[in-house]
Amino acid sequence: MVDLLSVLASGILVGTVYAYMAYGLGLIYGVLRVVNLAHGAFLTLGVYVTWWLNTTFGMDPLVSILITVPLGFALGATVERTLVFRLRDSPPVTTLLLLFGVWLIVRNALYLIFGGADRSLLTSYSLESLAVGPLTLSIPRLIVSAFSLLGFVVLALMLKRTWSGLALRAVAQDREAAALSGVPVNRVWAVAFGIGSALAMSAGSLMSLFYSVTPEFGARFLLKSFCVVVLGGLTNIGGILVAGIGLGIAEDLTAFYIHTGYRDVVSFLVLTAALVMRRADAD
Amino acid sequence: MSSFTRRHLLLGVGALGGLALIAPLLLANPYSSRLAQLLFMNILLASAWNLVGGFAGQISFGNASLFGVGAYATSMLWLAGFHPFLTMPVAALLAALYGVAWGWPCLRLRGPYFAIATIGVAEATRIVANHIEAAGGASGLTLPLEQDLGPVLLYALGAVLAVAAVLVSAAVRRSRLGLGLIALREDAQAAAASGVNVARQQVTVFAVTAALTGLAGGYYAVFTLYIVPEKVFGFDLSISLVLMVLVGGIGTVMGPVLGAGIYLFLEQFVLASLADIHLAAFGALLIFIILLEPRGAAPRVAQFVRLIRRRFG
Amino acid sequence: MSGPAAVSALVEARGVVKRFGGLTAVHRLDLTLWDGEILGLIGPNGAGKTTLFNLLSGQFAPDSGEILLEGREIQRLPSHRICRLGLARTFQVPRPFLALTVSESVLVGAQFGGRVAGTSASETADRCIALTRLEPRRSAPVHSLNLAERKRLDLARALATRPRVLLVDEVAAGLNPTEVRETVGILREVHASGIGIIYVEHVMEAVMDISDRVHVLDHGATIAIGTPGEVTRDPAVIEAYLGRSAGS
Repeated sequence: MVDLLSVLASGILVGTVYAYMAYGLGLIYGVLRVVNLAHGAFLTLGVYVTWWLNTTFGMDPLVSILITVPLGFALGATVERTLVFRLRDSPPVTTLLLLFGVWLIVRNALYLIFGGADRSLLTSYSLESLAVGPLTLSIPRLIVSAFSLLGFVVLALMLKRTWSGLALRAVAQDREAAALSGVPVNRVWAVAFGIGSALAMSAGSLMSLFYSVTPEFGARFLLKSFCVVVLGGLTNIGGILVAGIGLGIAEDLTAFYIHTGYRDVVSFLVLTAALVMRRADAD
Repeated sequence: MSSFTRRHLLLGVGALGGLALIAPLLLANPYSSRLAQLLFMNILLASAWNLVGGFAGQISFGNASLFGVGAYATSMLWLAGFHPFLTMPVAALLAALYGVAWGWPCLRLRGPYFAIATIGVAEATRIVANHIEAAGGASGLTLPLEQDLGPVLLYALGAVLAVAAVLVSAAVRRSRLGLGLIALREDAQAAAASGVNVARQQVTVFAVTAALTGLAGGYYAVFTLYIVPEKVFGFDLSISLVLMVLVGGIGTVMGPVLGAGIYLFLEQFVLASLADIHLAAFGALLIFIILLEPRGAAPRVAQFVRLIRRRFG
Repeated sequence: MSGPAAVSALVEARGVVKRFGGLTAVHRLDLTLWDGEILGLIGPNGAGKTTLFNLLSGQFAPDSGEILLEGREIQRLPSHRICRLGLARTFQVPRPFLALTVSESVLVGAQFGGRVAGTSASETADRCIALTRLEPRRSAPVHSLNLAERKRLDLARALATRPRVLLVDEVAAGLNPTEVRETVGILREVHASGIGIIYVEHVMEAVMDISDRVHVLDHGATIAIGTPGEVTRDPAVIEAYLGRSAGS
């Protein structure tokens, strides 16, 4: 029973991070109808920038969010302006391939700069934990989970309450109608890609606290992000949160009761099943 | 169809004859024989991928899962005592079955959704393959070196498989199936409204793709004599197919052949000296093709051939 | 819903309902196309005409109600089955297969929808190309066709499936008067060959000219059925059109 409870608790903690990690992908899809295969690149960049800031300046990963957010925004908006923008009227698969090319280049750059070795990041609280009743919860996971939830709230408020949020939602609903009502669609696209990338990079900052840092980091979590986004309903904030937590729990249950090696299979199978079942939306 | 059989069979026989003539050149040393084997395998893989990716417009990032099934089927049967030639049809059949098993649900998706679903399937397959102890787990299988078929037989087998794949591709392009695929690629709903059974057409062609990809896997096992899941089920293999076809010319019969050659050349001669940046080079190539030459090299080559003909013919 | 007793219904919709989220696009609709008839289907924008076509041709399934094609229930069948059973359609905005030539596109209809093979497939295709006056363009790539030609290509492709019933969606919209007359002429020929037609159109002249009866929709429901002369005098119809145009 305690086993099950602790598996559930850890699944929930991981799941909130999954949701935060995936949200940028959903936002970009919602506004631009583009499947951002470079999402993995931004996640990985986030992890590396955070690790580098930590080892070079001793900066706390949570503080480095202040850097990864604007950096991610600038990089994402640049990729949109220079590359994605040119393919706005092409079939979606071409954009997907293009962004895949971006990802390959980033991955290679990271190998060149940092090498392929697994690295990890240690803070004063990395190994701390908190006893709650019979459960032992890791402090960094609690912190990261709290930050993810906070990020979600900020985002939800931004989309609901601000003019930029309104413009984003308008373009997501109907690009032509939004353009006719005076929404600067081009700028909104760049902003959406920027925000999506900023989310991904800052997710990398958070995740550096308990995942190892390698150039393959993004490959692993890109597919999990897809899984969460597809399962949660693409742009639906609440749905994505629930889907992230669901995936976190499912993975931990699999790892605990079946085999650790099969943890990652869960997300791939759930992803495929979810896609196939959402066929109506997909067409 | 009848116009197909005559002319194309002649071309096929001609191609095999040509390959036989240049065989002594390519069989000169172990390295050149290996290049020929890789070229044949690439042609087979790229043509197979193009059937569903080019004609039906369904971009698959998951063909490694079919290649791996073929490679394992051949290897395990060979280790169990069957002659490698006998294992090939089984490799094709099992890959086709596996392809239909996951292609059936996934092909209901279109465009980017299909592409993502194929990544999911292929990665799940890779992880599971790493854990099957009966198939050697993560350390893979080593095949009986002493039973190596020898360069001549491997060359002949590869040549036949590659030419057959191109002929299959030409046959599909000219058949009712091919017409239906192009129609559904252009507009699936309008195709359905014209009587095309979109699901069945796609699954049918995907079974062919899978069978050919499985054959390629079997051939790979037979000439490398060593397979590991990370390689034969690996994502890199799946991507290389997409690149080959895009470089050569997607949706054409000769594009994949061209792309297979260009890819092999780049991989062996250009990137060998740039091993550090080979991922980036492929990424840059991908971006370049998509932004500047989305139709690949095939139209350029065709243009060039026409020019030569006009000048000298 | 009265028709000559000896004539059978080609298409019959009974109590068809289709909702999209909170919006009811088609509400408990009854519609009949009698054998040998051209039925005009008109109504203001958003009346549900195209939705009804999508329901009849199997693009969507209705939430409730039945659709019969020559007495056979088709409301749960996929589009390609419905096409093969003899109901073909054109699209409001033509949907050509851009990578094919004119004759290849029409061949898709003949080989798949019409279930004919080999030379008889090409003969069927040629006949439809001739009927739609596309002969000069038969080897042209579809992407080089202009709007009027693309509309006729949609029609040719649909006819090549050898339908009993043809659903025609705004084939005259956006064409000049000469092209409209030509298109109406083609539809008359199609009709003369024994194919029943349901014709959605905004160009009133065309639809009133050619239809035996006219079925008027508004807000997804029937507001009038009758001869062209009857419906144009119907107060409900006038109200629906004038009320809308006065408001907009």
